[in-house]
Amino acid sequence: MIQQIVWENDFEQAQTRAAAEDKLILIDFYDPT
Amino acid sequence: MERVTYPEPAVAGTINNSYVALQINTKEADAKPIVERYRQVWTPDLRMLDADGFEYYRWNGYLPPFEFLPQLLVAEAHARLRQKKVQAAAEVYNDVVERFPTSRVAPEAAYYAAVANYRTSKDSADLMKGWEKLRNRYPASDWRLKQSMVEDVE
Repeated sequence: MIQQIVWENDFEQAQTRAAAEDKLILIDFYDPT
Repeated sequence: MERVTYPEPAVAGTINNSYVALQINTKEADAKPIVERYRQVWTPDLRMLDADGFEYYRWNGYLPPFEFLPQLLVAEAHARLRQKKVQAAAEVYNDVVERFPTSRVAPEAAYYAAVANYRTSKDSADLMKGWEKLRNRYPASDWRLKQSMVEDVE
């Protein structure tokens, strides 16, 4: 199965997961236009 | 990024393994607090943070998959080095030098691989050996210049 990126869209949720999983947070600021 | 870089399985796998990934649409009103907190001005804008929101690394601009991937690994290694997880950092820098020797960030990885190897072993010969490898592989790089003070005393 081809792996796809699991994107969060809430910063606090990302912080909670990063702490629990001992991971860094990657933020991709993007402009859809 | 969405069409070319992120669908690449090696990129997606590395992001999922090492990061909690968060996309922020800078045009949405809800994004204003985080856009202002991180002084965000131009996209694409990639930031690497810890769980407390402390920023370790950033870059702007599109990168194709096999430049993005080593850049992402170097960002992770820099974060680990600054967290004093020097052995973990050394492993990632060395991985970049071995797997992506022609990438744009390879000279930077080689420079810091020597630093992290030295910080792990406490043996200055590891620093000198690593920087010698950097000079031999990337003689015209900016990172060769950044260690050139040791060339004057050799």
